[in-house]
Amino acid sequence: MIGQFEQLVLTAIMTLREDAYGVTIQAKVAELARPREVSLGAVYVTLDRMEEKGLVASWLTDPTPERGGRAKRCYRLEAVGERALQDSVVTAKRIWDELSEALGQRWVKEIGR
Amino acid sequence: MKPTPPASIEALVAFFIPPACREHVLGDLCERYQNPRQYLADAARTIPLVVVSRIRRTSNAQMLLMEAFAVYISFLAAAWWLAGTPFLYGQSGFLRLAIPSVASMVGLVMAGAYVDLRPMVRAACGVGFGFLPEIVLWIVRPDLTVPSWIMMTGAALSFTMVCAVAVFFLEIFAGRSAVPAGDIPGKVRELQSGIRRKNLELGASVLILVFLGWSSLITHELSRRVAGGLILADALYVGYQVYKRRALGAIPLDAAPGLLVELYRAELQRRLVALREIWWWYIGPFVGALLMYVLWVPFAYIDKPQVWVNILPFLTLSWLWGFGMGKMTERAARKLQEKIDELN
Repeated sequence: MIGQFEQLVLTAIMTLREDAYGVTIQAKVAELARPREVSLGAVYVTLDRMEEKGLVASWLTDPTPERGGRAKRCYRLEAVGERALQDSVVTAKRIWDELSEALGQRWVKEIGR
Repeated sequence: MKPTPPASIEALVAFFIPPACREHVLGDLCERYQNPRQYLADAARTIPLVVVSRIRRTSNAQMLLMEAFAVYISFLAAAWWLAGTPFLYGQSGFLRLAIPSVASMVGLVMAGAYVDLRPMVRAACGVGFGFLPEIVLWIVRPDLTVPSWIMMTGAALSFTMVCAVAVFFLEIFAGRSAVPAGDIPGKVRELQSGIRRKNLELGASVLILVFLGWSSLITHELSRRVAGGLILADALYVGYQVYKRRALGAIPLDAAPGLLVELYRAELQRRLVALREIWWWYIGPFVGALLMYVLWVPFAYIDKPQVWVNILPFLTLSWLWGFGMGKMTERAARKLQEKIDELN
């Protein structure tokens, strides 16, 4: 089972595809987690931990001039990471269905707002 | 054109980022650059977390605890031998020895994150770090410094023990256990290059034992000379065992993939056997030598029970260290077995 922040980072990597690296992942996670603030450091820590767990893999790209001649560390989801994200989505869906059935359409509308 | 951070500020920030992450973290910070103030604030928020993450990745809590014990025991042994009870009990010796020990531990953690994971380099950085507070104390509180001979002998002993702990356990606890099939030639190459270095590191610890034995042998007290002789015999035994248990031999890198896997498995098996028998051929004799190094005193003054009471902290710490090492060996053997099983 993965935590909420890990779910956000995995979602960001999955949606960004080839362009998933520190800055873009942080921006995407900040967008998904709003109004909560997300720091670049927190994203690095999570990426590092998930790489160690084998959920994601990383590689260095060629250096680019807009980054002061520095390389990017790009990330992609491993099969285990993709499965973990799928499991989280299925669980979230179950929670949603259960609550909307128990509390009715008015509650669903309130959440949507 | 997009503005970039001034070179001097970037160099300052780069100094604090661990080398393993420096390239991409600096690149990301550069991409977010707006002005020097924002850049520095961004770096100050990011770098501590990057360092913590790197420390978490390169350190193992159990191993660090064992290393902390090893360092403190080394300094205690050196103080006991060179200055005896007046220093330990009359001049706050236990506290004074704790200061370089704690600094060495900080050095080991930082060396893992910033410098290198090779046992010898890491141990040298860690032990070297232990001298820093001594320099500061020498200026501000000279009464809390450790006498230089105790410091040197303790540092040499710590270096050996930390090196030995790292040689056996660092590689097993670091990184992921699964090795993808495609990575095996790379792993074999890594093993090949590491074998000579590991033998050298274990050889260095034997030299330290020879030094301890020799320095005890040339003294005038009979019991100390007997202890010195036993330590030298012990060093010969450990040296022979290190030689006997050296690698299987050169592994041809152009071998067929199947053969390469078999050779890799055989090398891991050899390490597993060495680890399971470690108490017989390395840790046991090593701890035995350390005990002989300090126990000559109570045996020489057998009629003075106070000496036995005084040595109790050292014996208790040694026992705790031995117990912890036993548990860690079991865990490491399980991890190594998992690696071997994964090859199937």
